[in-house]
Amino acid sequence: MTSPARLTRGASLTLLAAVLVAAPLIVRAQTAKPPAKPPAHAPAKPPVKAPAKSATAGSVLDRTVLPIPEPKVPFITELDARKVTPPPRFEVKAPQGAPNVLIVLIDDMGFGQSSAFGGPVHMPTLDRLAAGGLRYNQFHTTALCSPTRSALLWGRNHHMNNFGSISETATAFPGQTGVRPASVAPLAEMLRLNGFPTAAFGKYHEAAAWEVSPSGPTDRWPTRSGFDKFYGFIGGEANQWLPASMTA
Amino acid sequence: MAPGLYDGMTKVETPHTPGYHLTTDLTNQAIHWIQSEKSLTPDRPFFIYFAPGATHAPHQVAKEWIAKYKGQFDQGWDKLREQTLERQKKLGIVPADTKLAPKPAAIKDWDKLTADERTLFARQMEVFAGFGEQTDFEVGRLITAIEDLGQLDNTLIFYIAGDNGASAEGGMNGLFNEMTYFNGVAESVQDVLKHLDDLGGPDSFGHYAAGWAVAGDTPFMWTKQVAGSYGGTRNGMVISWPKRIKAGGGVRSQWHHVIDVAPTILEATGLPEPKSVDGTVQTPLQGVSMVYTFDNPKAPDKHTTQYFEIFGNRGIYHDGWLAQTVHKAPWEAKPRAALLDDKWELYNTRSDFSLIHDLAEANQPKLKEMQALFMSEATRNHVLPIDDRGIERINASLAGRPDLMAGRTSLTVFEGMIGLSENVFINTKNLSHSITAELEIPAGGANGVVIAQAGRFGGWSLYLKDGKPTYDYNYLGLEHFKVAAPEVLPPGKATIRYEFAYDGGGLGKGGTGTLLINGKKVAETRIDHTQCCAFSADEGTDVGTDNETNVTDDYKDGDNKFTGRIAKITIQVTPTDRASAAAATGAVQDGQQKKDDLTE
Repeated sequence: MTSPARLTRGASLTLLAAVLVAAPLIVRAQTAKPPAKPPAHAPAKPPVKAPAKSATAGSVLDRTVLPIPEPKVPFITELDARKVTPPPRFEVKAPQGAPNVLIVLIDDMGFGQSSAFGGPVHMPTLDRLAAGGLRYNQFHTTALCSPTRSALLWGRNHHMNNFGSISETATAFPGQTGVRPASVAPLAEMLRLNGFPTAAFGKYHEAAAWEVSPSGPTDRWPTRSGFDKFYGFIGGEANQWLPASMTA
Repeated sequence: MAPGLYDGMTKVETPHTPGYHLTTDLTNQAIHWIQSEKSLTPDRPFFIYFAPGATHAPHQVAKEWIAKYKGQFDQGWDKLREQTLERQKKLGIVPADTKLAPKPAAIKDWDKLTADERTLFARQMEVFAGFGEQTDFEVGRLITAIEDLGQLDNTLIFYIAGDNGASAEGGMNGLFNEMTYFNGVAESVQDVLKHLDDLGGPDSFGHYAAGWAVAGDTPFMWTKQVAGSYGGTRNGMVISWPKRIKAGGGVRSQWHHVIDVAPTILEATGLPEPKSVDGTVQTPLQGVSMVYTFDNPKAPDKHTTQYFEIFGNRGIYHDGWLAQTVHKAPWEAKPRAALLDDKWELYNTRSDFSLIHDLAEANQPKLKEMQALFMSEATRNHVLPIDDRGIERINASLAGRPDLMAGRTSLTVFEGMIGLSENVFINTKNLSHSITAELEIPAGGANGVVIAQAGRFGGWSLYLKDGKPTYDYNYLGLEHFKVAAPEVLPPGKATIRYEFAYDGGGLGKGGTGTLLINGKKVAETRIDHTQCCAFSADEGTDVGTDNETNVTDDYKDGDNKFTGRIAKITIQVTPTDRASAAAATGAVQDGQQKKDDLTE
């Protein structure tokens, strides 16, 4: 007796065999007729050496509108796939050679606390990165958690982000509502729509406290603010031993 | 197990494993993600934002990290400031002629403290330093993982040591349980000394004294929240990108601000600033890229104007000048002056790194020019109007923000609803209220938590212990008020009800707690006082369980799920009548007074 499972597997094998037979033909058709122009998604030249050029001129894609609009594809009138060449695949990739980017943000640490800046807290990782990189001694934040995070993650002044303070003390005034405007797209969203996988770990504190419930709205939660992956807490602080996930 | 953290939009269970620490967990998660990403798509550059809760309060870390700093802060915060400044000069982090700014008047001289105070405060700083070093150790594991994948050379790293100045939110004595501060309750040095060895451990939710924050912002005067001063806003930052930055080990002194990070990343990755994202025309980025500083330590500044404003503290930087005013220090309950009457200071930051020579009197035209610039920057950035209300901004309706519970006097919740923060749960504080739970008790009886709000550092829980309905009010981890039914709840349907009759007359007063079973009163207790303002900074209300820390030692954390069925639970608050409203007005003043008391 043949079990139903075996039957199914047999059927898929038959289909696979058909595809394998057809495959060389498709390949031949592609090599016979190379696309006349480079594909529209051709990646930019390495940005690292000439960032100004690569940003726009070196790229065929117009990245100033995100998501990058998909090209219009033609309707094909041919019946047999062997006789036609598919259009180039539309795929958004980060500019060629673009670096990985990592932002590490420590919470509530003063200018004179880390060993790299003369402080008593031994921080060998920061020391090591400073030894191979650059120490900035006139870099500034906003003086409070959420406002700084909004300015860092979204690239505008904290009041323009409606984070003049923390959402737990938000008011009705513009600049203080605790709700990110749609006109302030997060940097993570810009990078994600340019082909970067994005992730956030740890404290968020950029979603309004009253929006963090099973009822949402979830529009401003981390994974709907540009991050493919989020693991952490959405509020302002957490017990390190038994972390909870809500807002404060 | 406690569902604590989120993975995406889903709550995940936090392991109740011995030695668990959040920062370690976050690091493991980040490493796993990077490894998967580079394994499957090595050609795709990643973007990672790694923001541990550390070193924000609660300052919590394993004892071995704290032990590394034993005795290292016995010299006190005044001496630490001097030592830090000397090291900063040696490192070239500050100009060689930099002098220490004076401390704020409220910070006592170390040598005028009592022996008890010195013992306690030194330990607080040992805990913080251990916490900081462990955080950096975990970041180190993350960097090593990137290096092991061969990715470090082309990874642009911003390591920002602080999202603001060091925090003075611990008040003059620091805190063993931060929730006491949010409720205006003072902890005495003597009480906390009894638990000295618990500082930093799971039974503490602590914060250091404000003197350490001032020392932590050396060479400046002020701290977190003081937005016009570099003590509040200057943070150490390191950029690493071996492939691109060849002059490693240098110091860069170009003036920059946190809004400059995004433009730097766009330039480094070769991306243009988008005009439109997800269908919405964008507010332009406001910072400038810092890439120009990579090769040239002498390149002229590109970020030349920046306003600052938090809670009425404000400042304006322009071409080397800084004008600022301290409207309210973190430990002060009220603004120092009306907004129009604030006293401004003026500094030439190019010759006065630590802001000690106030030129406001000597150069009034410059000050006026800077104040005018502040007003124009403030106007075009939605900084105005400045709203310096204090306690009113904690109240959603007075502040003018959404409140899910606005106008509601009753909330019915069901099994599976967990982690509801105080922002999305009905407020029972300072009000008479009742909790009515409709239960089904299986054969053999039931145990476990019916409903609980918050945990070890303050909260309440309604639960069955040895089959008997019990209510425990945990006042800030300091006192427990318990009322228990004398009889075991038999199998079948049952309604248990807890009623609280509030004394009134202000915030945080006491009342009478009564337990009823199927409508019949079975027990009553006096609750001497209640938490006026907050239960927890991180834990919420859970139905059918008490997640994260446990409210009461009648059950354990991670092992307290209700073993019967909960049909529904209704929490009802008694609307404030006219008399109570009058009392509430007094209560606000009372709350302010409590805060005043705390800060003295």
